[in-house]
Amino acid sequence: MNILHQFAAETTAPDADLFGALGIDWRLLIIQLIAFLILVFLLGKFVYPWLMKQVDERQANIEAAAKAATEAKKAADDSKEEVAQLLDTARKQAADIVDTAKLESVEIIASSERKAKQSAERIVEDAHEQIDKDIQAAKKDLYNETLELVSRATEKVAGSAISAKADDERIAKAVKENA
Amino acid sequence: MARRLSRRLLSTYVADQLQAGVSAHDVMLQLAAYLLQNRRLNEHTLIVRDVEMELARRGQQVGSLHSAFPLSDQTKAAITDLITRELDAKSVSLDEFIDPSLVGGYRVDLPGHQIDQTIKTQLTTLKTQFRKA
Repeated sequence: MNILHQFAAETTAPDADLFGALGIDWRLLIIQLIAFLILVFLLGKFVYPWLMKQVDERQANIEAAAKAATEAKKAADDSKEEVAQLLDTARKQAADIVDTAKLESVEIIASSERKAKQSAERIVEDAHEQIDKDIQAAKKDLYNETLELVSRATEKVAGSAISAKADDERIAKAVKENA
Repeated sequence: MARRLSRRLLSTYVADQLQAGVSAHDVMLQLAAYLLQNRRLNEHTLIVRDVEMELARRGQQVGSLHSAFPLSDQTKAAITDLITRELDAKSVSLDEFIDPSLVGGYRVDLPGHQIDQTIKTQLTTLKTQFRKA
C-alpha cells in the first residue's frame, strides 16, 4: 500500500489535461479501479456465494417454517373440527344413554311396585287362610273341651244321682237282657 | 345244669296242682321259690296269666269283677251264670273290686275276655264318637 501511495505521489506531474483539470489522478484511478476489480473478484469468488448461500438457506428456513406453521395451523383447525365432532357425538350418546337409563329406571320402578303389590297380596291372602285355619282349630278345640266338660259333669251328676240299690237293679236288668 | 322250664310247662303244672286240690297258697309258694332260684321273677306276671289261660282252657274261669257299688248276691250269681253260659265254663271264680270312678255298672275281666258295662266306659265311648279329630 505504501508503495502504491509513493507511486501515486511521484506521478503527480501536472498535466494540463482533463483529468488534471478535474483533479483526477488517472494513475491512482487505474490502481483503485484495479483494486476495486480485485475486491469485486474476491468478493464474488469467496464472499458473495457464501453470503448468498446463507441468505438462501435462511430464506428456505423461513419458508419452511412458514409452511410448517401453516400446516400446523391447518392441522389444528382440522383437529379442532374433529374434536368438535367427537364432542358432539359424545354429547348425543350421553343424551341417549341418559334417556335410556331414565326409561329403564321407570320400568324397574314399575316392575318393583308390581312385585311388591303381588307379594303383599299373597301375604294378605296367606294371612287370611291362616286366620281361617286358626279359627277352625280354635272352634274344634273349644268343641272338644266342651265335650270333655260335659262328660265330666255327666259323670259327677250320674255318680251322685245313682244309688247302690239303683245300680244293682240296673246291672241285674242288663245281665238279664244279655242272657 | 337243670333244664330251663318253659312258661307253658310251669303253667300246666300249676293248673294241674290246683285242679288236683292242692292248696293254692302252697302251689304259689312253690312257683315263687322256683322263679326266685332261677332268677325269673320278672316273668311272674306272665306266668300267672298263663296259669289263668290254662285254667280257662280247662273250663275254670278265674277273673275279677269291678263295680262302683257293692253288688247283691243275686246280681253276682246272675253275672256268674252269664259267664258260665257265654264261655261254657265249668266253674267261675271272681274277685270283687269296688271302684267309685266307674260311676255305675260293672266290668268283668277274664283271661282273654272282658265284659264292660260301666257307665264310665259308655260316657267315654260317647265322647269319642262325638269328638272331632
